[in-house]
Amino acid sequence: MNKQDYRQIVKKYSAVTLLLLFFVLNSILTPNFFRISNLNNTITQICPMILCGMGMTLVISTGGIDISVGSIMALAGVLTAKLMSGIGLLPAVVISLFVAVLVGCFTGIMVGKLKLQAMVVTLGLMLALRGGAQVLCDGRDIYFNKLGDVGEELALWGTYKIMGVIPVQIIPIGICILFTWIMVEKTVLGRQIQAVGDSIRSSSLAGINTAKTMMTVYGLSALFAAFAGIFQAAKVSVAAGSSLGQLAELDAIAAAVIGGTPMIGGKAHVLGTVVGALIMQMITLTCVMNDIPDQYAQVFKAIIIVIAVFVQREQLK
Amino acid sequence: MKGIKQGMRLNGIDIDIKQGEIVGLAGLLGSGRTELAKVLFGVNLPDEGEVFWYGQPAKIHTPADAIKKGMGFCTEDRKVEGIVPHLSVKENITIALLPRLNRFGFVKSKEQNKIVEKYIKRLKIKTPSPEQAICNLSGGNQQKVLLARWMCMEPKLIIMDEPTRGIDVGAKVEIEQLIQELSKNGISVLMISSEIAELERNCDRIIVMREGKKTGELISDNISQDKIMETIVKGSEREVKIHE
Repeated sequence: MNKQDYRQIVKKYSAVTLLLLFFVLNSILTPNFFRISNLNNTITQICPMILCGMGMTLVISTGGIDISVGSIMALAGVLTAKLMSGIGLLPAVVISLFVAVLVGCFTGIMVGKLKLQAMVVTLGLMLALRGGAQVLCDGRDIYFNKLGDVGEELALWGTYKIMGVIPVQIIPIGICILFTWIMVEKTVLGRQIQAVGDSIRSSSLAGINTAKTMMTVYGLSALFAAFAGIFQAAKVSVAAGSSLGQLAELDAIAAAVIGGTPMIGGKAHVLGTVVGALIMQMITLTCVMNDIPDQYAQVFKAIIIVIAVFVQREQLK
Repeated sequence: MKGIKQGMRLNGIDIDIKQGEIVGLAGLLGSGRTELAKVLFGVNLPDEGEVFWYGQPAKIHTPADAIKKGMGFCTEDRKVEGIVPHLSVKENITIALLPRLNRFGFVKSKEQNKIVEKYIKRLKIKTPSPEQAICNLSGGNQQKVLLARWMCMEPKLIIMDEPTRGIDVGAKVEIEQLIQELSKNGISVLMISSEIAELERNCDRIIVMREGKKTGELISDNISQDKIMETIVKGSEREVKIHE
C-alpha cells in the first residue's frame, strides 16, 4: 500500500473513527449514556444541524457557501407563526417555504449568473433576513401558547413523540437525508452539481447550465433551512426573530467540513455530513453529561474542525 | 451529400466545413484560431456575423446550444476547460450525455455503464476502472476520455484545439487515427494545431489565419509543410510591407 492509498483511507474513515471513538469514550466515562432519553435529546437537538447541513453540503460541493441559512430559519419560523393564526397552519408553512426558496433562488442567480462571491451575497442576506424577521415580529417573541389551537398544533410538530417515545424530528431528518443522498448519488442533477463544483469552466463547456444548477442548489439549501426553522420554532414553541437559528449556519458548515466535503467544491459527502453533525452533537453531549462547561465544548469543536480541514488538505494535493 | 455550411466573421472571416471533412486551421499564435472555435461553440458571442448550420442560421448562444446541434469541442487547455478533475472517468465521459440519460431526473445507470465500457474499449483508454478519478490518468488518456465524451454524443462536428499537445507519441498516433476514423463515419473535424506536420498528415483542407482573417487556403494536393509555412509567412510579409 503506498502513501496515497494510506491517505485516502485516513480521509475516508477519519470521521467515522472519531464518532466511534466518542461513542466508546462515552460508554466508559459517562454515566447514563445509554439512556433512551439521551438518544431522544440528540435527535431533537441535531435536527436543524442536519437539515441545514444537507443544504450546506450541496452548496459547498458547488464551491460556494451559504451563511444566510440561520437567518432563513428565523424568517421562516417567524413568518409561519405570524401567518398561521390568520390563514391556518399549512398555508402559512407553504408560504414560508415559498418565500425561503425565492430567497435561495435569488442567491443562486447572484452567485451563478452574476458571478458574485457567495460569501458576500449570503452575508448580506444573513443581516437583511435577520433584520426582516425581527421587523416581522415587531421585535417581540411570538409564543405559540398565546395563538390558541393553531399554535398548539404547530407546537406538536416539535414536541410530538412517535409511539410516545421517538421524537417527531426523526421524520424530517430521515426524509431530508434520504432525499439529498438519492439526489447526489442517483440523479442527473446530482452529477451536474458535483461537476460544477469541481470545475465550473469544464462543466459549462460540457453543456451544463451552471447558473440554473446554482439556483437549484441555493434554493434547496434555503428550503431545508426553512423547514429547520419551522421545526425548531415548533420545538421551543416560540418564534423569536432575534435568536431562532442563530449560528446554525456555522454548525452546518462545520458538519459538512468534518464530513469531508471539500470547501473548494467537489464530491458531496452526504452521509459524511451526517457523521459530522453527530460528532458535533456528541462533543456537546459528552461535555454536558460530564459537567464540563460548554465553553470547553466550543474549543473541542474548533479543534475537530481544524483537524478535519487539515486531513482534507492532505488529500487534495 | 448535403454539406454543412458555416459562414462567420471574426475579423471578417468566412469558412465552411463539409460533412466528413477534416479542416485544419493553421497560423501563428494569436491569429484567432481558438477564438474562432470558441465563437462556433457558443463560448463567446460574435459581434457581427452569423453561424450557419446545414444552411440554416444557427442560433448558438451557449455551449449547450452548440451541443444540441451536434457539436463537440476539445479545448486547448485540457486541465481547466476540459476534464472535471476529481470526478471519475465514467462521469467525465458521460457529462455532456447526461440530459439524454435522464429518466425522471435519475441517471439510467445501466445504459451509462454500457456506453462508458464501449468507448473505453474503442478508444483503448488505459484506466484501472471506470470509477477512477480522471486526474490520475496520463495526458493522452485524459484527452481520449474527452474525445469519448464527444463521440458518445454522436456529433456532426468536433472541434479540436491542439488535440495532441502534451501527449506521448503513442497516444498521438492513436488520436490521429481516431480523427481519420471520425471523418470516415461522416463526422466533420475542425482541427487547430501549431504542429504543421500534424495538419499535413490529417487534413483534407487547411485554412491559414492571421489576425482574425483568412490569408490562404490549401486543398488536398497543395498541402505540404512547406506550402503551409509559406502561406503563413507570406501573410506576415504583407504586414511588414504595409508597416514600411
